Amino acid sequence: MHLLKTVVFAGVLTATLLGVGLKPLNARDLGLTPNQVYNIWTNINKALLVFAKQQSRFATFQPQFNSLKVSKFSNKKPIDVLARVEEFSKKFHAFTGRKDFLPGEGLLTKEVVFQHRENNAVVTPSVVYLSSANLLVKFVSEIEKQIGPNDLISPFFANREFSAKEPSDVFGLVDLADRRMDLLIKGLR
Amino acid sequence: MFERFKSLTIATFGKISTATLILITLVSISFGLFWVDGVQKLGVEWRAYEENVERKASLLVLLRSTIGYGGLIHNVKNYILRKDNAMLIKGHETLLELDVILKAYRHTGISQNEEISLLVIETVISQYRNALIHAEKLIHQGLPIAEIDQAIKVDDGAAFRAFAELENGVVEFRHANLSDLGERVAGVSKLIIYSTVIFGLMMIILSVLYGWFIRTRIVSPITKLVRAFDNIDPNTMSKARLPVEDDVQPEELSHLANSGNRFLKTVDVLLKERQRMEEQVSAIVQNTGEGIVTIDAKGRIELFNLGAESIFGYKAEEIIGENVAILLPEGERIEHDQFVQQSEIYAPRIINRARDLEGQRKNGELFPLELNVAPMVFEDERKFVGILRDVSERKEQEINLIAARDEAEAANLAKSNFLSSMSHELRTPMNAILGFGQLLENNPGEQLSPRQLDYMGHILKSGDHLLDLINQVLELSKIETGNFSVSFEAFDVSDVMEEAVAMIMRSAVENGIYVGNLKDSQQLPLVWADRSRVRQVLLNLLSNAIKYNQKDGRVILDAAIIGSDQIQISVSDTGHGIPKEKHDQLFEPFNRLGREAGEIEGSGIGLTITKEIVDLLGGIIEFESKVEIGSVFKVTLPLAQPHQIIDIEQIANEALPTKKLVTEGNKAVLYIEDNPANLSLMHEVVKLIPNMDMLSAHNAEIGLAVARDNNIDVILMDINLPGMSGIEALKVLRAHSDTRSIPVIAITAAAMPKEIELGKKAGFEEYIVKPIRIPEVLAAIEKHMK
Repeated sequence: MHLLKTVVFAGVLTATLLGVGLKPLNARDLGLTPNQVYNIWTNINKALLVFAKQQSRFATFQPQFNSLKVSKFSNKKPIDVLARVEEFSKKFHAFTGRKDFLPGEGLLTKEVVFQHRENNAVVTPSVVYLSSANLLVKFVSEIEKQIGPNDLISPFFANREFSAKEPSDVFGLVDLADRRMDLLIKGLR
Repeated sequence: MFERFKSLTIATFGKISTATLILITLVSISFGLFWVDGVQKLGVEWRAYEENVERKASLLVLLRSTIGYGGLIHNVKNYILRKDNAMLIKGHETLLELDVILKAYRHTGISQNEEISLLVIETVISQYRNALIHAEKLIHQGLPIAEIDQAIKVDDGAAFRAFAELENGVVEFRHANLSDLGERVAGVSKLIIYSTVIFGLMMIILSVLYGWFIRTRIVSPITKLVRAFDNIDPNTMSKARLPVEDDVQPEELSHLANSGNRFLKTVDVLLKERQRMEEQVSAIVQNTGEGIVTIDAKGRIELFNLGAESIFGYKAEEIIGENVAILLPEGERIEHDQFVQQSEIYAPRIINRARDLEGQRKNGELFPLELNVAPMVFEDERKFVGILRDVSERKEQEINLIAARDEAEAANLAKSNFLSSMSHELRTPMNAILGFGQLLENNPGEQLSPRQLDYMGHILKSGDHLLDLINQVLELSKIETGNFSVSFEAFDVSDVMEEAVAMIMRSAVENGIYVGNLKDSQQLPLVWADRSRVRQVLLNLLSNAIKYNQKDGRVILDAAIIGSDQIQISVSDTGHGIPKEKHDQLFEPFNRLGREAGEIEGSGIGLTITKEIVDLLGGIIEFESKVEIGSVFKVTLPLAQPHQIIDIEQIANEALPTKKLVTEGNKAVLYIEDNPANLSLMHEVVKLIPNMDMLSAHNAEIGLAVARDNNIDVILMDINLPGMSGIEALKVLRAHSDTRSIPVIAITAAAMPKEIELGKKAGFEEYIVKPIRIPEVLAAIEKHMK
């Protein structure tokens, strides 16, 4: 009986080990939510307001710039938000007059690439967060270069706790930042 | 329940077995799939555990490095020292990264202890965040570095203790998971073992049940049946029975036993029938009038029936086992032994063929024996059965019959020879009598008195009748003795039909009979026959049709092509017909079918000669006749084939050369005639012309050669010649330059106007009919002399 039990156990264990390789597991999501993404885009919008206010060349657009409000969207998915984020990113590049920023070397950049590869390009809130956070760091760096050390930078990285935010809410903030960037670009001409 | 199971039929048992096996198979498959699914889930879970552990470990490494040297602490200190905004931004970027790492770690699933450790780490990170913000403000206010450094002191020792806690937690987590996995593998293993044992027990119980059923309900009853079969005695088969036990046997075996009993009954009936047949065959063999003897391959007698006993005088018991050669004369025994020993070689000569040989009876008497041997294979051994018959009486009868036949044939030949010689001997003087009678009648130098002329007329008329009769008898005798010759040629039979009709027309008119030729002036395919003989046949048939017709009767001559190579000439009349009972006698010689005493003259051999001629020509003569309605005689002849049609020009050139026969200074007449008497007569007639030689030829071919090689002034030509006819010979003469201008006078028996007209059309200068009138012949010769 003992022999039988040993043989069966060994068989089941072997089959289990074989079974480990049978079914691929998805790469583990980072667990970030739209609440954290919403915080990032709140900071970006805040940085835009400060930037526009500090630049005299945008003075004529200032009332229009300040009057822009968050639009209401619904049924947006992380992939829609990411598309809008990339659209903003292109305009940001155009505004700075650079073709592209050098890719960062930090965790944020690496993790974006990893998430895209391992999750078979499935867009999650974590992916949107990583892209947005990366963009925030670059945008603040650009502001710092253009307006100099006259103002505090840390408020642009404020860490607020939001709750129950949906991808549509995030989409609204990205859209607002995008429209503000349009006015900034308009102000350059 | 048990009783019901016992009473199952084999078919029902088979169905239950099949259903049970299918059920067991399905349950086994279900369990197998269940086990496989359980094992697969275990594998997936284990992999998740492993990945989680690896991820926690890597995140911890990342967290430590992001906070420690080169990380957050490093960035904060650098910023304070250098007051560079880039360092400030880098510090905030690192804070963002730490947020991500902490979220990711929590997302792997954490224990309460881990949560506590993470909170400690987050607190330290939060202190650094505040320190960074505070440092920025102080730098904006322009405070010196030393004061700033004093103002933002952070104790990060708690964070590193928390790191150690977390690392220990990862190791414990791995141990806990491995233990859990082991327990679950053991659980699945137990399930497999228990289910295998249960299935095994079920299969053993089922096998025992099946085994019991098969042994008690199938094997045992079948064994009983087999024993019952083995114990059947062929001699008592009618009483043999197989056991039918409905309470023990399944239904199918009861049916089998019943069928076996019916089979035994049938076999018993067949055996009795075979025994009866054997007795019957034995009785037939023993009691048949024929002798029947069978021998083995070495010639030893195995069966000797009563017929054989009667023929040979031996009893079966004393000859069975002896060599069959004992039944043959000593001289034939060696040959017979060879036949038996080499039966394969001699089989075609002796097997299934009646053979006459000599037998020897027990008393030594030899007798003629007819033997018919047939081979047979009996129990893989080659044997022979001989049917023997004593043919002594038959042989004696055959000998007598042969002797009688030879005697009859000799007598018939003698008769024919007598008739032939007598007819010839009579005919020759008759020709002379008639010829010289005519000379007397027509001799201008010595005129007869009127009375003498009257007598001479009677002599000549009677002579003609007698000559006809003699000629017919002569022909018949020639036919019977094989001396009758026919000369085949290709010719248009319609010409012969017209000639025949023309020749009998005078007789038809005298008798008031209408004669019609349906093929008058029509060309028919050439036949291959003897022209003169065909004419003779038609004349005979037409003559009979006229003679034996009714008053104002009709005779119709017609011809029709049969198939591709025959023509059938028919002569139909409206005569009295021939009674059916006399049809068989119609062609018998000298049999006039009861008309011997009638007014109509006849010899009774005309149709006999006609049939013989038609046979010689390769044709067929048939007839149909109805009393008081009439008769139809049909003569079928072969048509000429292309290679049989004569090229006249060629014949003219190939005619045989002859030596010169004419006396120098004399004129010459050539008489082509096959009748010697007529030649002799004409020779006397020509002598009346001064300085005139007469050359003669008995057929046309020789005549043509003579005409070509001699200076001939006039040719006298008989038309009905053997072989080439006088008309064809005339065509050859006219075709050849040397003979084209020689005048040719026809002298023929064809005296009808139509025939005369045909002769003149053919190109004869004169047409003289027989019997000749000498002055007419002399005048014609002188007229056409060159």
